[in-house]
This record gives sequence, structure tokens and C-alpha cells, in this order.
Amino acid sequence: MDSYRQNKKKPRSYARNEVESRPTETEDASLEYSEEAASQPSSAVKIKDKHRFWIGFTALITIGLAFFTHTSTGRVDDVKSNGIGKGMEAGIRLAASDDSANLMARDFEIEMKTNGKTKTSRMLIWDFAAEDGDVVTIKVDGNILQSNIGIMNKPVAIDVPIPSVVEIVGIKDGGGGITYGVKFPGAVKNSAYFNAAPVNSSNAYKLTGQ
Amino acid sequence: MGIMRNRVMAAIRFLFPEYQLVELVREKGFIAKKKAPPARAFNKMPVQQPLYEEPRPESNSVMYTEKNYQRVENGYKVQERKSLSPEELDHQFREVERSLKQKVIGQQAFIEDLVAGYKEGYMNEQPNKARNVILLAGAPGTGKKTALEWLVREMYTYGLADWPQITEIDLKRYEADEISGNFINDMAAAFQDPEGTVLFRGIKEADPAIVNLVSRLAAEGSFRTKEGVRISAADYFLLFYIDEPVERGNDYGQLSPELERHLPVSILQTARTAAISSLLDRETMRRIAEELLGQAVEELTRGMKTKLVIHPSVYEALAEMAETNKTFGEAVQHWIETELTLALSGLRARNEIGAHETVRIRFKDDSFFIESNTLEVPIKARSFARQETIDDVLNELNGLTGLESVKTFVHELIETVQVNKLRGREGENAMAMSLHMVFTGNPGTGKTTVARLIGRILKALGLLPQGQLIEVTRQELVGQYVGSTAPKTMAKVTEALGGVLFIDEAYTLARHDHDTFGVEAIDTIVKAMEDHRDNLVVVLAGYTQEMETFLRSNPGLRSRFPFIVEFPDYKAADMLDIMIAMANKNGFQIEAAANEGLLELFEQKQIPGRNDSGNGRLVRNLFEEAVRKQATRIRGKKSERPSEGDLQLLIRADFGIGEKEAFNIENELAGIVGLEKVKVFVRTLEKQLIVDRRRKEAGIQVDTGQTLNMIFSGNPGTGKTMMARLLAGMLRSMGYLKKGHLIEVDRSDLVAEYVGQTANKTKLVVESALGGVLFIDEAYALAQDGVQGGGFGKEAIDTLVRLIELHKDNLVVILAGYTEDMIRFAQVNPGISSRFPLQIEFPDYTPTEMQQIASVMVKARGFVLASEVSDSLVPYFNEKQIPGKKDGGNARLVRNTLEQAIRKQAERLADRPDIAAEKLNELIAEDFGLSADAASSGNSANALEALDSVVGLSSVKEFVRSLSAQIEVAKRREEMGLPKASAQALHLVFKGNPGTGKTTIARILAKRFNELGVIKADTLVETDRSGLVAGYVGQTALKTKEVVDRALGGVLFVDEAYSLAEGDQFGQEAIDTLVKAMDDYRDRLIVILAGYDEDMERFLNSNAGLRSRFPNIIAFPDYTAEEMLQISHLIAKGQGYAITREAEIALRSILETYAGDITAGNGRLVRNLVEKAIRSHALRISGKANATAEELSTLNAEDFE
Amino acid sequence: MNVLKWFFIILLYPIMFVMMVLTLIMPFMAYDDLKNVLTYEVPSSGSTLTMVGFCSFFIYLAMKSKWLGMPYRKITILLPMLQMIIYTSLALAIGGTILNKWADQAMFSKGTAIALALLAFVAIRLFLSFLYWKNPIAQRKSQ
Repeated sequence: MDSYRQNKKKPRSYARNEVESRPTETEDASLEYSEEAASQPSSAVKIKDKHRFWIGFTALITIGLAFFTHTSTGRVDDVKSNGIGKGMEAGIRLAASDDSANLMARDFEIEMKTNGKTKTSRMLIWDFAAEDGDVVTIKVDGNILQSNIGIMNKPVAIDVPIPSVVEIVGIKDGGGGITYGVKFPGAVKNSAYFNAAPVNSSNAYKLTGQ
Repeated sequence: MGIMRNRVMAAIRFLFPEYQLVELVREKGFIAKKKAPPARAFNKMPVQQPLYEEPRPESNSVMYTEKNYQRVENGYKVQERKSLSPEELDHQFREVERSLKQKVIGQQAFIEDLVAGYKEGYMNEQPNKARNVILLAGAPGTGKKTALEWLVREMYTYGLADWPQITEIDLKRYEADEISGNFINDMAAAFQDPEGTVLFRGIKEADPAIVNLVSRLAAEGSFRTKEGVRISAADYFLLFYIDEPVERGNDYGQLSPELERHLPVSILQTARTAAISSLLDRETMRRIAEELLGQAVEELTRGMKTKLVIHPSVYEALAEMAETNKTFGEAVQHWIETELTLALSGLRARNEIGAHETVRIRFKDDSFFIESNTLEVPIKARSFARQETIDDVLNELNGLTGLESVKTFVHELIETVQVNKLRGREGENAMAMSLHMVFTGNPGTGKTTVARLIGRILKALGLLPQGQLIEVTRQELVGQYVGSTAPKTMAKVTEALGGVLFIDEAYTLARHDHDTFGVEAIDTIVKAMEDHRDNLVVVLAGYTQEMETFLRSNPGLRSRFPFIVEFPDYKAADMLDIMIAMANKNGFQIEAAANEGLLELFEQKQIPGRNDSGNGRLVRNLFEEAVRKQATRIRGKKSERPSEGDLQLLIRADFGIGEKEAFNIENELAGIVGLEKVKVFVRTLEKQLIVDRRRKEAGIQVDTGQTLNMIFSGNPGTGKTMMARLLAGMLRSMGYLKKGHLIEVDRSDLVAEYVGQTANKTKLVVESALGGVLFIDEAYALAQDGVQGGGFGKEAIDTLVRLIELHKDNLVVILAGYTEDMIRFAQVNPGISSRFPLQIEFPDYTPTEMQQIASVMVKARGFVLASEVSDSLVPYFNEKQIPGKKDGGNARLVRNTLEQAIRKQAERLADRPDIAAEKLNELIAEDFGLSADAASSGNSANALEALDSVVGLSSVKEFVRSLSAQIEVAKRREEMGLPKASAQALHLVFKGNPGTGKTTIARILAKRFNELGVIKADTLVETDRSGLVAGYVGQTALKTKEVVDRALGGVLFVDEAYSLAEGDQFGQEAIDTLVKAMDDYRDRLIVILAGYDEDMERFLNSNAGLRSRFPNIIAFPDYTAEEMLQISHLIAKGQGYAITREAEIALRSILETYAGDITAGNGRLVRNLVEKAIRSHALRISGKANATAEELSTLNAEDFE
Repeated sequence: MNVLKWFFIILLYPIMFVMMVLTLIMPFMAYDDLKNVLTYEVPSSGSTLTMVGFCSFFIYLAMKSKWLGMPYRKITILLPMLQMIIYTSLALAIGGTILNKWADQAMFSKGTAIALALLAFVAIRLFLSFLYWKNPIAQRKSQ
């Protein structure tokens, strides 16, 4: 099966400097080539092409993929209208600083996919602008799930039951409003919601599951 | 299982391709090597710069390396070179020749040959063969090498060769075992490139195997070694290079026959052409000098910023110098480098030459000078500095006192080395001289100092690079455990490389053959000597004999040490010089008068044959001792301040000369009692010495050396040892012996228990006695190996005889022993009697002398003899001293009696505390047991009573009484001073049946004779045939003699004497000895023979002499019954029993039954009967418990049945 | 032509060097991302895929032309190793995106996401092995 063996091994003795078999002048002693195997040039080169082809193929694919799926970048103003970032990934950062965000506090209703067994969703919440030390509390159906969460650019996952009403109460504004983004994996529409929580009032997200 | 494992491996290898990375690394290494770097650029052989070769200017070789580096890059250039047509070849080569001739002056012919050789190489190209094999020969320094290098460089610039450098291989650097190693590596590297030039040098001294490989390479163009490595010299130029001046053959480069001497034939055959450089004449040499100097000057000016002007006379001188020692260019170059540049830079460094100053170099009265306007410095001067060292080392050597033989040896060595060097320069090959040396001689004879000098001399002669001296002894060479010796020795050897390895006391390395460590060290040294033949000199030192055994220990040793130098002992005069030199060095002066005394002192100390006298070291010890004594002397007289001169002056007293006690003989001899004969001899000796001294003073040279070996024969205790000691002291004082100590030995010290040890042991003893007296007591024991000795005594004697002869003028040997034994001893080895001319007899002391000795001894011990004791001692001693009896003891007897007296006195005094003080050390007669004499005479009477008490034997009693009467009369006559009647033979023969009281009578007789003074002791020695006759032939005489000795001074009673006559001839031998003994000791021995009547008669008839010797024959009749009864009464009474009347009658009847029966046993019969009676009586009484005392002691009739 | 080549060399060599280092550390970054997503259940930015793309592009360039590949050839095993690393990091990146899908949109459950990621990783690794088995770069020791 693997009879294809490249006999490239050179006799190690001093034959190397035998006058007749002096090394060929070809400069390119690149390693895939077995430079001494001048006797079988074809197979060596073939191998090399093979490898080069596949690496080129991967380069092509990956770069193509990168372009198509580069939704990850977005701007504040394309969500300013309704605070919904369609298809945006959690943890995305829209602006460099809070003041340029000036989002309106809104409540949302999100329809969740329920394929029967998933009763909870892993709510992801993060600060999409500058990490200015905003603090929020999360309440579910009126009772506090987790209080005083410092929201960072890196999203934090919190499990919330479905169907429920999630309220995010702003506790401390580190400056320029409590800007945060939230996303509910398992929602029908794969989008992230951006909001600003007014201090000691809350935004409500109504999670509805069929 | 294997397949399973393989499959798993294959799977892993499949799953993890990274494994292939690993294999790739293993195959190609981690860093991708560039294409094989152009080896030639870096592998230029490290040109071994032989002294005579013109050193190639280093600078331009560097320049080449960049150029050829760049060459590697545009590798393509070589391939394009089209093969040149002949015309182009001619043109190119002409160009090359022209430029070459400008460069190298004065070698036109040589250059033409060389260029022709090269052109030929390009003309006919044989495939796979060397282009051309050229031979370069000619005097060193005539520019051969330079020309070749220029040629190759030119060819390179013209594109003829692709490599501007030549590769050089020095064949003589490879040993035989390096062929597969270094040699092949270098050759492979050299023949690496498509083509080039390879120069072989040092062919003459190369290893034959290598030479034939090279010749095969030159002949067939390639060779293959055993390991399969193939070296091919296709289109290479091979050149063989010799540095010897050779005349040119004819013009067309043919080889001149004269080359055979310089090259092995195989190489010569392969050489196709030859280019021989001609000797340069003065003119060309001058131009070369000019040109070389020009280069040097240009360099120096650039370096030192000073303008240099060379005076034409310099060129002239240089040319002439080069001409004389035939090294031409090399000599000039050498001078420039070693002397000119050094001198100039030295001056410049000390900025005696300022910058921008003009300096002229001139040659004036055969030395070069550097002149600047401020100074004038000779250059030549320094280069000769090295020369002087030989001279100053030499006069340091001559400074050493004595050691003439060593000095001549060293001068010889220097001459040979000088000639060798000259021969080397002439061109013949310098004969490699091995300079290892062995210094033999006694300690302190300057071996180490000379060794150190040898080191410096060899360095001065240029034979040793450093010439340092490494002094090692056994413990530095030998390791503690197995295997550690070799490395340790090698470390020392490598340390000594380039200099001298001095092994002191070298014989300790091979003292005995199973000393493995020592032998291992020797082998390593021998090997090292072989390996580093030209830069290591080994010097061994040790005593003469020991070094002989050492050199025999390893067969290779003797052949490796061509020079063996004997260091003689210093003569007294030499030692005096050394002493004076040493004193002066330390700032002391020696008083002129002391010289004479010192000479004598050295003479005294220096004993030939004894090797520990110390020579040089002795002088130093004496000197230090003198200094110490001087210090005490000066401190002693604290009174006045010692003047400055005193402090430095050593006078005779300091050396211990001068207080020689005048030895007068008389008071010494006075101390000895008796021994007149010896005293006489000693006095004659002394007189002779006095005469000698007078002759010496008178300046007459007479050799009065005489052998003074003596034999003292005499009984023990006659003062032999004392006399020997006295003699030793006396001879020393007379200057006969140097040390005059007495060594007292006997057989056990000389004879060893193993074979072969005796000689050694004797030698040691004799050597320890050298310079004194060797006193061998009981010397005859050495000869008596018969029974117990085992034959070594003989060996001891032989060695002794040899040694006496060897050290005859400073050893006196005295043998002592009994007179006859010594005579017999002298016959053992014929040499003895001739070597011991003086025989001195030590007679026993007469009682009076013994008494004198006693008084002397008493006085010596601090005791006092009571007045009456002294004169009563004489008879006592007379009594004691039995002439002929060997162990009488003479003086020792006196001492024993004295000590016994002291002991007695101690007893006496101990229990009487009230004795007066001065009486404490008084010895009175009682202490000596003298008073007891009277008592002893008292008991003489009872011997007669005892005789009478014997029952019967009236005739015997009669005879005894007559005998004692006769003796008494004789004694009384003697006391009256009448002539003493000759002692009449008192030997007796007792004839009679057993049990008739013969032995009892003999015992009584002995006591009686003792009382009468006929015999000294009342001992009775009873013996019979078995006591006298021994089992082996020849032993009987000895045994009999022994018995007789025991009986000497008493009575010898031989029972059943007739038995001696019957049986084998042993008995006869016993009789003869007995008869002889009776004659010898007529007055000191009485022999009584006893036996049955008829037998004794037959015995006396058996030997004619017997009857005449035994005049008195006494018959012992059997006892009559009556007498036996009396005896039985006697015996019973003796045991406390009484015999009743009826018991008597019973006993009589029994006795009558025995009458007439000769085997009855007479007295013994009666005794047996009585004892039997007592036993039965005891049996009877034991049964009755209440037996009365009276019953207990009476024997009655029934007891006797 | 020579000048252009020289220009290319001077410009590209530093970049190439950086890319080389990047490629070397990429699998570790991808793995790190994966671990974070799994532990914090938070989607990661998912930029590894693009990086893989660029690195493989450079490798491709290096293999294509001799001059560009010069620095890579310094070490004999550099190029094949980088390729292997790229394939591995590609596998990890794809695994990463799958997991992201779960983290972000909970497209599949956690278990299925992990399984899928593993499956993807193994698939690509198998492909890599097959490729190198098919045309090995260093001869295989005889069995």
C-alpha cells in the first residue's frame, strides 16, 4: 500500500566528495525538494505542488469566509433607530465612548424559539461602548436574579427562564449613561438589543415562548 | 507481537504527520546547510614553517580569502572556461613567466622549468591522472616556494587555474597509525576541488606506508585506502618539495641521479619533471636582500612613521651572511624579522627614535648599527646574547669542585651536539641523538646540581625548547591503587616535556620484581621516552649497585640510556675546597690552621665502600655544626665584647679537631688481668704504629697496611669479647680504623633461614661493621652444619671470606671459639687460615688470676672483700675450675660466684638490721660459701662409714681403704712439697653377679674419691650400652663423647660393659672412643666397668688395650645366706619393721633354695622378698582393725611365704 | 526585474517574519478562544478564521516563489510545520465558529455544539494526515 517510497537517502560515506557525484549546482535547495534526488525529479516536484495547492485552497476558503461572515463589525447609528442590531454577535462594541451612544431606554419583546425542552436562555449582557463602570441589577418576574453586575465589554451569561419578563435596573452610571447590549441566544431573530438603563429605573424584556 | 507493534506505529505515523517533520530533521538537520561551502578557502594546510623556509608574507593571503569567497558566489564562472588552444596556452604562460621573473630574482632556469612543467600539464591531459608531477629541489631560501605561489596566483589571474592558492601537505607529520585518520582527512580536503596544486613536503622522514600511498596517487592518479576511501588527483598538479641543495641535471628538466639520496625511489619514479633552484651568487643575493629589505623598510616606515635609510654596506653584509650559512633569502628574512624589526620597534617604543626622525642603518666592523642623530645602537649585539648562555653555564659547571669525570663528559656532550648542529646545517640529515643519562654515585656527590645544569646547557644548545628541570622521586610517580600510576607518571612526563625529567633515587622504582606499581611507572616512562624522543631528556640518579639492578629490571632501559656517568666520592682535598667556598659564600672565614685538621677529619669520615658518608652534604652538616659551636663559644665568653673579626672566624675547636685524647695503651692493659700473650701482641702492634707515624712525618711513603684479622681461641669467659672491644678502641685511636666501633655477632646473625638470604645478611652485617671491628663469637658454629645447620653456614663463611678481602684495609674481623673447634673451623674454608694470620690463644685463668679478677670486680661494684676471704678464694676457684671442662666459666664463674655472694650477703644482712653501716658492703667468707668447705670435709668420713655399713664385700672394702690411704699419702707428700707422684690410673672393673652391690659401691667410691680430691666433682654418671651406642654410623662416637663430657671430673660407671663387645661394630667404636677419652682425661675421669665374671673376662680379652687400662679388677662374690639375712634385717630396719625369729628361719630356708643360682639376684632378691613380706603383712594387718603399733611393725613367718 | 524583486524583498521580509510568528502562536490563541467560550458560555470575537486565511496566503506565497520563500528555507522543517499548524488552527477555528454559533444564537445545544466542533476538528486532522500520507515530505523508515 505504501510501496511508494522515496529512496532519497544518500550514502553517508565520503562518496559525497567523490569527484564524479559532485552536488549539482542547482541553488534552490528548498527542503521539500530532495535536492540530491536529481535522478527522480518528477515525483519530488509533484509532491511539492500538491502541498502548495492545498495550502492555497485553504487560504482562499478562509479569506472568502472571513469576508462573508464579517457581520461582527457594526456602528451605533445603524441600531440607534430601534436599538436592535440584527444578526449581531454578543459582545460587539459599537462605539468607543458612552456619550456618543445616547440611546433611548426602550422595552423589548423577544420571541424565543422553543423546541420543547429548552426552558431557559443564557442571556448575554455587555457594555458595547467604553467600560465606564456601569452597574445594573437583573430582575426576573419581579425578583432579583443577580444584583450589582458591573457590565464589561466582555459579555456575561446569565440564565433566565422562558417565558419571563427580564428587567435590567440601572444602579450606578459610570458616566454617559448605562449603555449595555443584551442578547438572548435561542431567540427566533438572531439579533442583539442595545439599550441604556436609566439609573434606578429598568428596561423590560418580555421573553415569549410558544 | 512485532507486526502488531508495526501496525500501531504505522497508524500513529499516519495520524500524526508531525512525525515526518522529525524524520526530516533527522535527515537534513535543523539549519539548512548552504550548498557545501568552498572547502578550499579554509582548509589551506597549516603551513608547517620549517626554519629554513621563506615565511610567506601573511598579509596577502588574507586578501585572497575574500576574493575566493566571492568566487563561490559566481560559481558559474568556472564552467564557462573554454579549453584553451595551444597558442593561447603559450601566450598565457609566457605572460606568467615574465611576471614571475620580475618577482623572483636570480632563478631564471628554475622558473622556466616550473612554468614548462605546468604548461606540460595543460598540454597532454590524461583522464583521471594527475596533470603533472613536478619535483622542486634546491637550497633552502632560494625562493622555490615563493616562485611557485606567484606562479599559481598568476595562473589564477589569467584564468588558467580556478584556485589562486596551493595546498601543502607535510607528510612527516603523520604517524603510521594516523593514516586512516588525519592523513586521509587532509588528503580528502586537499583533493576536493575539480583541480588545483598540491605540494608534498617532508617526504624523506615520512612513514613508508604514507610514501607509497602518495607515490600510487602520483603514478595512477588515485588510490583507495583499506576503509574504501578513494582519493583521486585527476587534473591536479602534484609537487614534491625538498630543501636540499642539488646540482642541476641537464637542461631539459630531466632528473639528476643525485636526487636518489633525498627522495624514496618510488616517488622519484613517478616524478615526470624537476625544477631545481640554483645557488644564488653574491650579486643576486645582494639584490634579493635589497628587495626584501626594501619591503621591510616600507612596512616599518608605515608602521613607525620614521624615515629609514639603509646604507649599501648593509646589503653587502647581509648577502655575505646569507652566503656563508647557505640559507640565502631565508637568512636575510630571518635577520630582518628577529633582529632588525625587534631592535627598531624596541627603540621606537622607548621613543628614543622620535616620530618623523631619519634613522640610518649602517654596517660597521662586522656588526649592524642603528644610527639616528641622537644615538647609535648596535643591533648585532642582542642576537648574540643567546650564544653567551652556553658559556656562562659552562663556567658555572667548572665552578663546581671535583667531579672531573662529569666535567669531561659534559664538554664531550657539548662538542658532539655542536658538530651535530653543523652537520644538520650542511644539509646531511641531523643524526637524532638521544640524550638520556644515568648518574650513579653516592649521595651528596652533586648529582642533582649537575642535572639542573644539564637542563640549562641543553636549552642553551637549542636541543630542548624550555630546558626546565622537573625533579621527581618514587612517590610522585607511583599511584596509590592499581591503574593510577600510569596517568600520574604521564602527568609528570608531560610537565617535563621540553625539558629534563630528573628521577632521583630511581632504583626505588624497581626494588623487587613484584612491585607492580614501580614496574608500571618504569614502563610508562620508557614509552614516553620513545614517544617524545626529541624534546624530552630523562636523567636517573641513584647508588651504583642499586642502579645496576634497576637497569636490569626492564630490558629496554639499558639500551635507552647511552650515557652512564659515575660520580666519584669527593676526595678530602675537594671537600676542603667546598668547605672553604661554602664558608666564604656565607661570609665566614676558616682559620688557616684548621685546614690541616679538616683534611684529616674528612679523611676520617670518608670510608670507601660505605656509601652513607654524605660527601657534599657531610661538608654542609659539618659547616653548620661548626657555626653552631662557634656561636656557643662566643656566647660562652660573655665577659668581653666579641670583636667583629671573631664573629666571622671559625677556629679548629669549632670543627671538633684538636682535642684528640692521647691514647696510652698501658692504663688500658693494666685493667686486664692475665692474658699476657695478648698484651704482648698489642704492645708490638702499638710500637709498629708509632714507627709508622714517625715515617709519615718524615715523609717516607710506606704502605704498612696489614691485615689484622685475628682468631681468638679459648674457653668462654676468658675475656675474648672484652679484649676485642679494647682492641677496636685502640686501633681507632691509632688511626688504623676510622670508626673503631665493635659489632658483635654470632652464627644466628650471619645465617638466614632461607636459601640465598645468607649472603645478603652477611653482607649487611659486614657493611655495618666497616671502619670498625667485626667480632664473631662461637665462629666454629658456622662450620658445624652437620646435624642442625642445613648448609647455610658454609655460604656465610664464603661470603665472609670474599668481603674480608674486599674491604681489607678498613675492616678487622675477629673470630672467637674453643680451641679445637676453631682449628677444625679453619679447615672448612682454605681462605680462612690465610686471611686470619694472627692466632691468639686465651688460656683459662689460673685460680690466682681469677682471684685477682674477683677483687677487681668487687672493687668495681663498690663492695669490700673481708680480709680472710681473698686468700680462701684461690682454693675455691681451683676447686671450681676443672681444666678441660669447657663450661667452667673462668671470669664468668668469678662473676657468678660474686653475684651469688652478694645475694647471700643480702639475705644475711636483711634479717639483722643492727649491722653497722660500713659493714653493709662487706662480703665475708660465709657469703662465698667458703666456710662451708670445712663442713664438706666433715662429710668425707661418713663415705667410709657408708662403705663399712655395706654388708659383706670385704675384699672390695679392703681395696678401697688401700686406695684412699695411697691417695692420702700422695696428698700429704704434695703438701710437703715432695714431687707429686704421677696420678695412677684409677679405672676399675667390677666383676660379679647382678645384685651384688656394684652400683652402690661405685657411688660410694665416687664420693670417696671426690673427698680425696682425686676428682673435682662427686658426680657418678651411670650408663650402659644403649647410652653409648647410637643408631647411625658415626653417631656413636659423638654420643659417647657427650656422655664422657658429662662425666668429666667424676666417675663414669658402665654397667653390663661386656655387651659393648658383642653385637655389631658400633659397640667397638664406643669402646675405642671410651679408651681414647680415658687417655685424654686421665686425671679428670674414672671409668668403672661392671658385668658378670666370664663376660667381663671375655670383654677384656676382646681388646688388647683394655686389660692394661683397667689395672684394678674387683670381684664381687655372691652373698652367703647369712649375709643376705643381715641385708634383709638392714632393709627392714630401714623401713621401720622388725623380723620375728620364726620369720627369720622361714627367710633363711627360702634363701637357701636360691643358693648357687647365678640369676638369683643376691641383694635384689632379699629386697624383693622383704618388700613382698611387707605387702603381705599389710594385707594381714588391714583386716584387723585394732592392730597395736607393735603388731603393725613386725613381720612374722607367714608374711614370707 | 531585479529592482522590483529587491523592493519586494525589503518590504515583505519583515511582514513575513511577523506572519511566521503569528502562525506559530495561532493554534494556541484559537484553543484559548474555544476554552473561553466553553467556560464563560460567551461568544468570542471569532477572528481566528481570518488570521488563518492570511497566514496560509503568505505560506502559499513562500512556496510559490523562490525569492519570497528565502527566509522560510532557513530552517529545513519550517514550511511543512507551518502548513501543519495552519491546518490545525483551521480545524480549531471552524470548531470555534461552531461553538460561537451555539454561544451566540444557541443554534444547537451545548452538547451537540461540542460534538460538532470535535467532529470538525477530527475531520480536518484526518484530512491533514491523509494529505501527508499521500505525499510525504520525508521518506518513511522502512517497516
